[in-house]
Amino acid sequence: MKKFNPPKFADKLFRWYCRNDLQDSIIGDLHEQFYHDLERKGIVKARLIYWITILKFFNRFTTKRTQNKTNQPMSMNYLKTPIRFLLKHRSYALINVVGLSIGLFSCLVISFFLHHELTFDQQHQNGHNIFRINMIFADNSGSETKYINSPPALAPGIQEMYPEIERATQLRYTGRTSLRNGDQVYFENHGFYADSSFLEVFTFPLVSGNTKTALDEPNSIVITSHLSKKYFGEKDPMGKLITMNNDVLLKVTGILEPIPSNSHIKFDFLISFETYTVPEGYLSDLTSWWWLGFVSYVQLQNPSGGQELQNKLDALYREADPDNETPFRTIVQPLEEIYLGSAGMTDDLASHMRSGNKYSIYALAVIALLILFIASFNLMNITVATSLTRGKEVGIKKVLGEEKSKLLVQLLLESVLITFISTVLAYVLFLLLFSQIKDHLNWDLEISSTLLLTSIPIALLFITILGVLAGLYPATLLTNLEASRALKQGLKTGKGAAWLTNGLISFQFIISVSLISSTIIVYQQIQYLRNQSLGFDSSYVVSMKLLPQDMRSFYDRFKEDLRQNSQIQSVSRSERIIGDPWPVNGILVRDEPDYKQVHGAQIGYDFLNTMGIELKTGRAFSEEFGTDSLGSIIINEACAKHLGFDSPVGEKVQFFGRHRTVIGVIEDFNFSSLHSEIAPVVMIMPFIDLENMYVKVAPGNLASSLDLIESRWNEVSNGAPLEMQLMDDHMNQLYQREEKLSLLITGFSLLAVLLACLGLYGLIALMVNKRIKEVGIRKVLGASVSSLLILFSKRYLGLIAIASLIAAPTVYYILSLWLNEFAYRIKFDFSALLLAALLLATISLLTIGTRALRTALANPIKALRDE
Amino acid sequence: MKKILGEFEEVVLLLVAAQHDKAYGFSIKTAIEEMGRSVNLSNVHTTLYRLEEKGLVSSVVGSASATRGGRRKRNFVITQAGKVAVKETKESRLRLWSSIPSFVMEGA
Repeated sequence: MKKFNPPKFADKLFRWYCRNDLQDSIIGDLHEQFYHDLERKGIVKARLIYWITILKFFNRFTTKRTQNKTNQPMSMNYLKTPIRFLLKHRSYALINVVGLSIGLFSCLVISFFLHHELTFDQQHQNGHNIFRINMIFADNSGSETKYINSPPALAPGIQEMYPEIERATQLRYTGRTSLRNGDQVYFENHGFYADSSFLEVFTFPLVSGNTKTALDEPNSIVITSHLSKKYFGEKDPMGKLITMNNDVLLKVTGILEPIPSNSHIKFDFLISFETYTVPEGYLSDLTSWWWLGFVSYVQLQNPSGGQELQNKLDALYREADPDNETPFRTIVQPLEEIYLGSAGMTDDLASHMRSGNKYSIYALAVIALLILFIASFNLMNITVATSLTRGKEVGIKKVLGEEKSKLLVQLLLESVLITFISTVLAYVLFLLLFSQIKDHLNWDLEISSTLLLTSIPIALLFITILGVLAGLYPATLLTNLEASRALKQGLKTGKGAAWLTNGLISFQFIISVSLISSTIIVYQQIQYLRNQSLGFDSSYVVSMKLLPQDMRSFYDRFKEDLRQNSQIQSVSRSERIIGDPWPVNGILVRDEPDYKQVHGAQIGYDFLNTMGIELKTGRAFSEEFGTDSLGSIIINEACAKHLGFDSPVGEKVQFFGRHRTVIGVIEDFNFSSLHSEIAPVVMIMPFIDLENMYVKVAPGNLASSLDLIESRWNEVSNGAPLEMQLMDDHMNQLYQREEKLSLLITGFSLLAVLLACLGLYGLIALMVNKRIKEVGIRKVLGASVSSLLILFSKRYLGLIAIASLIAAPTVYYILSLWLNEFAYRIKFDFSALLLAALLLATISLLTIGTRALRTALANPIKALRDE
Repeated sequence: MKKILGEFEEVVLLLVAAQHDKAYGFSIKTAIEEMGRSVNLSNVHTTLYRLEEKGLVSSVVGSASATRGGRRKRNFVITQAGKVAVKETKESRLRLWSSIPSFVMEGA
């Protein structure tokens, strides 16, 4: 009979997991059973039973213990040594904890911001099926403008034409509106006229009222709970009446839950679309397919039907206007892309739709990562450096029979412990500081406690991985050391550790140089923008917002009253304030068939001298010429070039349905932000009621001038509230977003550099400690303090030089891209890189200096005394 | 805390007592199978270790035997506590038996 043996591999497996003291007796039993089964059941079954039994043996009695048989709970012993070690090396632990917690804190702040920015418009049930219809208007010269706006006939029209559109809805910005309930009267800036289907397409839940019918009736208004509190206090506003613009009575038919801060449509109230009437003087009506004064959304049956609809709409516009070589085109934009994908689109109504900036999101995400890199490199470097001094400790532990795996876990626990403490601190910092940061940066975002809670396990997981990664290399080095060698000569780091440390430091230097130089260039660019001549003079100009009917009823009297005073230099008015986008319209040059695009503004008399806009040739609008209000037009130099006029004054054009004669050319000025090139602008006298009024006061006594304006206002205004703003403040607000962003980026960049220096300090301190004897001997042999400093720092200066060379192309590439976004920009200057490198070298030298100098200056006897 | 014996633990403990100082994992397994009940060797071992942990049996590494390739057996003997435990279990069973009215079991 053939001799069969129990499966060897099964035994091996068993011996791997089973405790040594049980192995023999159990394997004995197993073999006995195997031969027993072999006789009765045959080899196949015997083997199978053998395997099954071995697998079933795996339990808490048989598996190897990781702990010696002591009464102490396992975890306590595990934690004790790392804590002791950290307490002993307090300063390095502190550097790590401070660095990591600041780094993690920055990451938390940035991640919550990014989370907010990336989760826009997600509360809508039909979200994936909703699209906004944007329009592209191009002229023959090839320049095109993208609008988020669309014409009023579009939404109702296409809903009937195309069955794939389930619902279509449109909004019309109300503009600045006064709302009144009894004696509660305020101006509101965020409101829309909305189709009855708006609340069905979008999910904005109502506290009371019916989403299906709330906007059905004319003269209905739906307000947010916030607005309800403002006008009605604790009373129930449902069914109550609100007076709009001292004119129209609206019935409250619904109360909205607060609108989330991550909705691109920002509003406090909605008025039923039926209430809207086209104001007098407008040249279009609600049947227009060309008037870009509305915002249209469609809800499609199929979430992937956007492109198809876009093709159909483009074809529709081509057929409607067959003679036009450049008809309207559309962009059917999915809801989830609206917030971040609308850069470069114009909102012709300045309706305060929120739109985000992709670049700032990229920049912040990169900075958050870099900060985290720096902080974890610090941890890694300092762990490697401290591990050099631990050869003896590890050697003794090994001699006393510590298992290798257990030792590894212990060493890893040290770095995990540091990361863990840092996480806790980072959250504490976050809870303490986030609301301040939010206020300071004007961030309009709420962090729910659920979001905060869900972030904790992610952060913990992440941080444990970080801790393990940071500690893994030095820990493996130490545990692989033979006990005898460890005791005799300690840990001699080979080339590996030196390469790692140098690599990580260089990487930190690269990050630091890049961040510092980028910050310098961003700062220079923003200063450059601020110092650009805007082409007008907004100092000592007070701007006021008036309701159209107020403008009609008392502007002329008010202007006359004010002009009686010597303090008041001039008074004027306009349709849009400088800084808001000015609407684009088509202009026809006398004998040319095609429209060209220009920005048009309706202005009152004295606008040019009030704003300090220089007249190049010709004259401004004047009351002496009765024809100005209908037949005259003023253009800027860019427009003269755009229309191809050599001597513009006297040229004939058609604009807003009228023949007009050019009477003056003004110097170019920036009427909107300096992101964009100066565009062609024309100015005409108003044909609708204007809303903005300006008063230029004499330099000097601003306060008394403001008092004067207020007292005159009270005489004429019938109790309308007065809101004044200095134009300078208004202009500053235009760049506020940029400034806040640059502040944020600068702040975090500096933090990153600071962290890198902190790490460098810790590393140098360790390095110097190790070489303290060498310094002593060198001093005894006559080395000078400066030569010692050079000895310590030359390696790092070399690394900085290399890092700068590596950083240069990346920084050049990225910042050139960014600078190209601006019409007015500085040239990329490599001196910024040089400056950054010098700055970093200085900071590093200071860091090295403070630590090394102490050693270099010390009495060499102290270093050499004890052996 | 009073040690409560599970049914299988009780069987194993009784067999340890029955086989006196010759009880080891495989012998107990064989005895259980002779009772007409199939059981995995690992379950027997695990139960023995659990009983040992409870202090009801104690183990000694015994002599080598040729059939086992020179590997020593781990022999189990019942401890004083073990004896008390089986006895208590038996008495509580008997109390239950005696509480059954005689007519209930008639015909069984």
